[in-house]
Amino acid sequence: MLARLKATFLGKWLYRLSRHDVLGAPLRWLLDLGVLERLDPAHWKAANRRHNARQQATLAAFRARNGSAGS
Amino acid sequence: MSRPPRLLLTFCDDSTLIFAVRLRALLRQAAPEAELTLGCYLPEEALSLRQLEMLVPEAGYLVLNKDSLIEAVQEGRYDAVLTSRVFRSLANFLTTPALKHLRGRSQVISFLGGLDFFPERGYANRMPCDGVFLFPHSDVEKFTAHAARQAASDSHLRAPLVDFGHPTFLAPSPTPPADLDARRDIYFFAQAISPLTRRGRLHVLEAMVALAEAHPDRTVWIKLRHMPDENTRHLHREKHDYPDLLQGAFPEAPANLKLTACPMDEATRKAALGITCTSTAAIDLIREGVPTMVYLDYVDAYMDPMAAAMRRLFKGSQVITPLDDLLHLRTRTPDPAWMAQMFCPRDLGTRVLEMVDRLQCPPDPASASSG
Repeated sequence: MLARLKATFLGKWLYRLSRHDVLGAPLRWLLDLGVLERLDPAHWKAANRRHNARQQATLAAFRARNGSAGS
Repeated sequence: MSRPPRLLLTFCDDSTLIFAVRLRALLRQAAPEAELTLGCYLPEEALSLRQLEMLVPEAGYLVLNKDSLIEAVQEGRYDAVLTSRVFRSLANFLTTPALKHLRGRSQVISFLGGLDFFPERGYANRMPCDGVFLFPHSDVEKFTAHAARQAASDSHLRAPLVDFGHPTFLAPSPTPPADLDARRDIYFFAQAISPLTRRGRLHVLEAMVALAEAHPDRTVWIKLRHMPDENTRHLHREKHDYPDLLQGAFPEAPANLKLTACPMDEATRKAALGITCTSTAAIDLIREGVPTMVYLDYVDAYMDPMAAAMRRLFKGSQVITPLDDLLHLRTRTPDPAWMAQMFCPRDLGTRVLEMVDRLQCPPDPASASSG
């Protein structure tokens, strides 16, 4: 994820910060939790949001038909 | 070559070891008299004891460090080193003109590590080798032209011999496994870094939960590439492992959804259907005649460079499957023309030995000095 972020200005700054003596370890811990992957600007593109919504809806409909959604 | 060929097959992690063991079997078949040695390259070693016991139970291998590998190559202790990873020390050796030119040294033949999602990088890594085996078939021509161009513009380089194939990518048998109709189990073959995001992996996991719920008469196996504490030094390190995700997000998943880290051969022998996202397992499944689905539309797929690369490699294969078809177990037969590009003839062992033979012959001085 860091490698992906390195392509952006914010990412470069975060990458440098992740190597910091004091702040690096907690930042890397947050990255391991997958926090930054949720902040990626790609998630805000309409086409990507539609893609995710379509997949989730297909799966939810299948589970609902089988009477197991949310179980 | 009058005496039996002496070949060193190197490995350092699970994928390179699977490659080495499969190639050894093909070479044994082609030349039972050949001296075949497995060599574990310690500086990049990333295997657990469980993986070693599972993949090389006889424990018959050499342990190599940087110096001993280079010494073996320099002194020509083997006719050839066969490797799916061009280790840095080996690449440095081969890019040093005085060593590359040295008479009597071992020849180095490299193969791709698996599905090559970013071929340009693979081309550069393999350029210093003496021989290269590639796939798909179209890449043989592309790489040959690329190597000739590179060699023409760089006097330190010589274009390697090129051939088609990989021990994992052998042409499938024309008939499906005899017991396929009797099989019930569905296998999902996990991959360490794809889907890339936690949300993507949870989505795929939920699809497996849904399959298990909809088919209580079948067992849905999540075939782990490795256990969560393994492959921590692997090139592709897993961040969100499926056992943890399953326990955290689906604590009441049906009992017919199970995890396994069994060998790939065992999984392909038992699978009625195999599903994967970007794993080379798709190739193992097709080769073994098991119905195969490649699912690339998972949530957050746009974050994952491997999804786009897999789509490119499997374009025209007919096995890329939309979610609705996956959930309803609607499979399709792989396209024969695509298979002919991807899978090599089963005489790979013989062709490797032929390449070793050709490399043993000193180049004709007249042709080397011409031009």
